[in-house]
Amino acid sequence: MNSWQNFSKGVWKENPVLRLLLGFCPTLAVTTSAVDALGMGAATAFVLLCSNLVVSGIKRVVPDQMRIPVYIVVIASFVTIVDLVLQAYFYDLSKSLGLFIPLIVVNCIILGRAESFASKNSMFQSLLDALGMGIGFTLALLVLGSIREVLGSGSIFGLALVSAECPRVLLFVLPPGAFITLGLLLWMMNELDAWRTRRA
Amino acid sequence: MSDEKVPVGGSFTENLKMILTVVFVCVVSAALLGFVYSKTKGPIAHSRQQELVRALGYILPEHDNQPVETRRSLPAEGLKCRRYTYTGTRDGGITGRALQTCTTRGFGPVIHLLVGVSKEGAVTGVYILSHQETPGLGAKITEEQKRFPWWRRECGTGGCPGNRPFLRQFANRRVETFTFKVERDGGDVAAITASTISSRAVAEAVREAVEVLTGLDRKGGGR
Repeated sequence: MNSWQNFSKGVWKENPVLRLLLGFCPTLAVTTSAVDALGMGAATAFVLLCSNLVVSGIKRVVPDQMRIPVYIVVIASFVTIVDLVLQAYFYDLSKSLGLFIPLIVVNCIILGRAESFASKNSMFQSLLDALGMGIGFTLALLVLGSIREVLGSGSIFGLALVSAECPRVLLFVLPPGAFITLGLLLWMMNELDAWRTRRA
Repeated sequence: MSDEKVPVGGSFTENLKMILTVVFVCVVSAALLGFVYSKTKGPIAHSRQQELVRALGYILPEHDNQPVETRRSLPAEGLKCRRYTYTGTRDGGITGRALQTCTTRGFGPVIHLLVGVSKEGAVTGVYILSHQETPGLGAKITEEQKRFPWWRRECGTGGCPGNRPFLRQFANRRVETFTFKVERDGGDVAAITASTISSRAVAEAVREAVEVLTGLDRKGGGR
């Protein structure tokens, strides 16, 4: 696989949310609005980038049997550092993003990429992989969050689209709405792929 | 996950290598975290203090002193934090007080909040200092009503504390005419949809704060 494919596969062909179906805990929990989705996506992408680089850098010295605990320590350390630095130097940002930070540790995309990609590839390729996966994750969350915010809150990026009297489909900001929207998105992705293969 | 069988308990040197690697990684990350913590401790405390000053300015009725300098400790049995009062004065006369307190009845571990009460016993403002409620659900206790897209800042640093619909409903309420409970518990506080627990926690914390602050005045606690 060349460098471009390593980068681009995360966006579409192996999109972490819509193709690999990984990291559903944060995906379903924080996509009630577009801004929250964007915040979660950006924070995850950053930690993914750092952890992929470090894991790829230390892959030769870590014994095979001990790799998972080592990766978890690396990821958890980065998450804590990001949290502290945000609080110290970007206080306003940490007030809005701070809630997502602890959720990043439980995101299996990060451990998944460390295990299946970074531990087997060079640092540069791991960087590209993390960038692609990060962008793919953020985009998927953004689409999900936008649909749910428009239908459930009648706004987009916090900006009201309809008047306050207009009824909203509250279901879409509640947890079941996350599953329904995600299911519809997956269906559309599969239909689109099937259509493309038929045409080819 | 590799499919080949991993031998259980290798040779002595293999085991030693495994142990040493994990110990080394843990020591390095602990040292790194300690370093980052010591470097960020000061700035974090500074930002928190600044936020406190801003929040006090907002939730206390008109005052011409520095409320943060009037801090007094209150007993806080069974609480996960300390309780402090702050006093706002104008021309030497007390205009209102604020209580810094917390509650553990939310969905997350602790909600820290400031409640301001005027001399007459009406709530002048509620400010959530920190919370860890679920994003998108309980976190809406601090959500602001937006008039512009997110890239346009509306009120500068700290956002718009006066524009948070859930907290705004406490403004100018008094214990005599307003029941500080969510509607489901027979009160007057409109809970956030699907976040009754967080709403209830804040409503009850505000009620307790009002009781503590008005109790102080009754005892003539003008210390």
